[in-house]
Amino acid sequence: MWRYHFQTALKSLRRNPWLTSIVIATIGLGIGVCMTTLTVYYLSSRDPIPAKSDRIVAVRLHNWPVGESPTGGDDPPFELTYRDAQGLVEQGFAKHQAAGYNTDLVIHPEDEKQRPYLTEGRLTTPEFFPMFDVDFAYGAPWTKEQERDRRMVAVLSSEANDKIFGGENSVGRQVRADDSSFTVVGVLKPWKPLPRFYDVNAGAWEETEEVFIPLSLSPVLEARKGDGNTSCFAEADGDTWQAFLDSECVWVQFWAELTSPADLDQYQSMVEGYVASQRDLGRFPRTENVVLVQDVMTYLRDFGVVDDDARVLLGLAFLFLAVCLVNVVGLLLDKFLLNPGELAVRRALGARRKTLLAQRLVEVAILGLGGAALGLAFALAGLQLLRTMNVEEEVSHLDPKLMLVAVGLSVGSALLAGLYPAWRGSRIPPARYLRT
Amino acid sequence: MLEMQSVSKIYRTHLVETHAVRDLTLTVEDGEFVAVSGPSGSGKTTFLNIAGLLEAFEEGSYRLDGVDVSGIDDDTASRIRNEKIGFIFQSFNLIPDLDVFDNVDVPLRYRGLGARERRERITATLERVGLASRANHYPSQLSGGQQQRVAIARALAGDPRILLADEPTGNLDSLMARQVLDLIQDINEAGTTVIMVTHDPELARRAHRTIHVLDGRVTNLDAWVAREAMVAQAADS
Amino acid sequence: MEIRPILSAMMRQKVRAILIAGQIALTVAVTANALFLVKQRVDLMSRDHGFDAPNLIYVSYTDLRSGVDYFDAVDADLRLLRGLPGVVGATPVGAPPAGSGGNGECFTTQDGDLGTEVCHNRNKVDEEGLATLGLRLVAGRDFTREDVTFEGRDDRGYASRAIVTQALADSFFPDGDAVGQVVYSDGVAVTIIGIVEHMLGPWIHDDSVARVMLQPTVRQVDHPRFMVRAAPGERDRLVAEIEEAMLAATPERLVRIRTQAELLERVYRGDRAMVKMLLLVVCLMILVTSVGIVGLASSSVSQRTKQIGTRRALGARRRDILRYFLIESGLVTSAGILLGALGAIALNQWMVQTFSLERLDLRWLLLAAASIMALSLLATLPPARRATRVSPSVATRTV
Repeated sequence: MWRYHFQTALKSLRRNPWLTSIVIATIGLGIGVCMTTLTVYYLSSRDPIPAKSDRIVAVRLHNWPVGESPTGGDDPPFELTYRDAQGLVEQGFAKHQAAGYNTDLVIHPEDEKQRPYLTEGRLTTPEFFPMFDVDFAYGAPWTKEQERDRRMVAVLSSEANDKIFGGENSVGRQVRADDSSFTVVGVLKPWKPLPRFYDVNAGAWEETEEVFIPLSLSPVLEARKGDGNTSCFAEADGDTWQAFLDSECVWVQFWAELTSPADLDQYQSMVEGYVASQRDLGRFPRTENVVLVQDVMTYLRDFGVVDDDARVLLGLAFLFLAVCLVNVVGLLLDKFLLNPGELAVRRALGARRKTLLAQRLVEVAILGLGGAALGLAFALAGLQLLRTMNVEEEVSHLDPKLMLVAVGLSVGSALLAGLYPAWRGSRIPPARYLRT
Repeated sequence: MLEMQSVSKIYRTHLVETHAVRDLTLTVEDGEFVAVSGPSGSGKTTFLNIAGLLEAFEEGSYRLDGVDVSGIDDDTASRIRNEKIGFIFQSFNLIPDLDVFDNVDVPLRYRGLGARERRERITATLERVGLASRANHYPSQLSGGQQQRVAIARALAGDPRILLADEPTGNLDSLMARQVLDLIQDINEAGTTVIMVTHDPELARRAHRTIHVLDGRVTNLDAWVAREAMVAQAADS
Repeated sequence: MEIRPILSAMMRQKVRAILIAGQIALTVAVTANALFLVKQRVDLMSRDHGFDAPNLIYVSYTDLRSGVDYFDAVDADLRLLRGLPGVVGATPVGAPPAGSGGNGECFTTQDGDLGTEVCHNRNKVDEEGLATLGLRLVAGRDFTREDVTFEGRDDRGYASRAIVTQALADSFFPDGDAVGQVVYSDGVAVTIIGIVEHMLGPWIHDDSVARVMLQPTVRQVDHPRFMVRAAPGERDRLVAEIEEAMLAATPERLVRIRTQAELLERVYRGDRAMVKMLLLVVCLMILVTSVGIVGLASSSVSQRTKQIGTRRALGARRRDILRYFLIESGLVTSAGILLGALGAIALNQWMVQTFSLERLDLRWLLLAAASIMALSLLATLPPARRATRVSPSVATRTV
């Protein structure tokens, strides 16, 4: 019976090519616009580390005076002071923890013919790699001892290793960055979390840093912060780099991995214990809202990685889809009521209402499929258009999962739009159209 | 009242020319009741369309109520239809979306009469056709005879000089047909000129005289009868 | 004139009319809000930036040499830049204006965290700063060579003089007379020596953008930064020439050059994309709704061929028929627009709450309503004209 419905539906659609194309075009436009905005929204709000995002947490400490905050509201800053970040790493309350920040580095390739180039590096602590499940192609992270002893070691990203060493196993070799030379201890496999959640401050859609070096080298190298904000409520005690590191300026990211999400409260109270110990030094003037421990997605949401424009557009896109669907309801009413075609004959020949309804719905579902195909094409064009406006490629490519959503949305909304016209159509008394 | 001189109407398709009305000459006096009869396809509807200014014609001249209406523009034709002509159609042509009152109101609206005068005229004519109580009914709630009476009320409300009826009883059973016909006769007796197209010789008998149309020409009835007889004879033999 | 019968005829087929009215309502609601958003973004992008955006070039570099005196190098660079033909001026800067990077800070009008506190953007220039950026001094005086401190070389410490924008001066001292006044932050006292008419700071979307403090300071940083002002028409030629000249003078460095226009393009990228997307959605929505209106009018006409013929026979002129369908469409559209006005306000309410956007300016609602009404009548016109061509003789046709 369904096969027969299908054939009949195709015939009916072919009989009215104009109406059929307008309906498909309308659904396609609605789906295309929705998928374009949904893609940007979905890709920018996606979970960068799904396996662990509920137990990897950012710690936000409010070391600012009462009534002040660099966040605009009254919440703790998104970054920590260097001393608190280092302090929490030393305390080691969690299964893993890592502090770090982004810096500019000039790499001098081994090949003298290649010009030095400026790139991003990251000073961090060794648990960064196991915590974020970063896989190594060669070697391993530097050890805690190397971190403590301020060894000149480096982990290279896969891209940096390709550029500097032509992709060979470079463990044990030297890499020159700025005025220093580092021993390569590890090379990463390609790794690009999206968004770059561990340092959205320096840019959520930027490339992964090329060179990772121990955070403890910061005072030695005087490696200033590259991209991202530094917020201070008071000037540092002097002009030296060490004075800045000791200041109350917030600019360092800190992340911890808990054994399970349930440990969050316990972890929070341990961090509060650390803050209490710091109060003895005259720090942390606030008593309320001092420690905020947030999992990855909560932190990203608070930071505002998905910008409001994407949300507004998504909302408007769905209203547009609604307009398209209402339009389709009208067009289908015309088709099913004014041109009932051979349906009335079928009724007269004994087809039940239910059968006719089913046949109409099959027809509508085919329109929905056509709309989905056209919608995907429109979405591709829409995303291409966004890329010409320099919207990041990372949030503007068609995602396979979303393509399924598009098909589902299209067929679903076509059926929704077709239900009432089909029902009305199936209730036409056959005699009204058989009369000459 | 109505004076046609050698009026011709030709339908052209890209293959053939069909004379729907050919060299038609006819005079109808003020207050006359004329029946137009003829077999289907004889051109009697086209004659009615021309007489009622629903269609233009190519040749000949036509004076209606003393005015030459050959080659007048669309707006003037509309105004003459609205003011001087009342139409009664075979399939009533009531507007299904409007109730009886609003249906009768249609031509009065186009004449641009004030609300009060329209209401008075509508009530009066509905009373005349005996449907005052049905003013708020929709056409689908009325019988065929009632619908045709509403249509007659609509035609009369504008106080026309001439009433054109196209098979007014074609869709009615005989009892209703008689009521409608009585009404038309009353109207004529009250002074309105009536031209009624029908293929039914019974109905035609109510008229003062009958005009026969055959192949788009006015024909002498006797000649027509003779020809019919001949055809019948030929069929018999 | 004949609204009541048209209305009652419409009520007999209300589903179709309600659908179109709903569609128009949504379109009005979205269009009004979207156009309002577009207007705000366009206003934002077309603001007067204060500085001479079309002719400014941003130059920065990374020195690969070690052991070079920073200030000597900057001096040499400035001499080189100022000496290039076509250059109107050059100044070291803390950050390029409107480049999404810089310093924000808060000062008070009395020492010890007392008085009015105002947060603003700070930038650093030398004595040629104002001329290079193209700023107009409206009070006080410009920087002189003697004002400039070299943080790290001389021991004068934090610059004690500043030129502020009128907006910042007014925030500190609403009664005027800002010149000569002193503002404080964390033990530092800065005297306002001059006021420039207008200049936007680095964070173009921040509320504090028009509050800028310029300090006569050259500070040692990893990547020295300069702004260069080109004579009109010379900018593009200079972009290439500057890089060449700088590398010729010192090959051991990585030079980055961007025009201020490119920087602005970058900071407004999101706004531009938003404007385009909003306009696209609005256009598509209006297109779809117009198709719907044409569809409704067409089916309304084709369902009523006989009726139109009858009306014509009863004396309706062509223009009466045209008017009938235009009024019908106008009624549906009016209902949709009324509903849409409520929807627009509700939608705006939601956006105000969720995204802290501004409240809808009702003029945009009026504009949306008027254009959709016009469009609706325009869309009705083709089917309505088709209706006027229905012959009155349709009335006597028996089918």
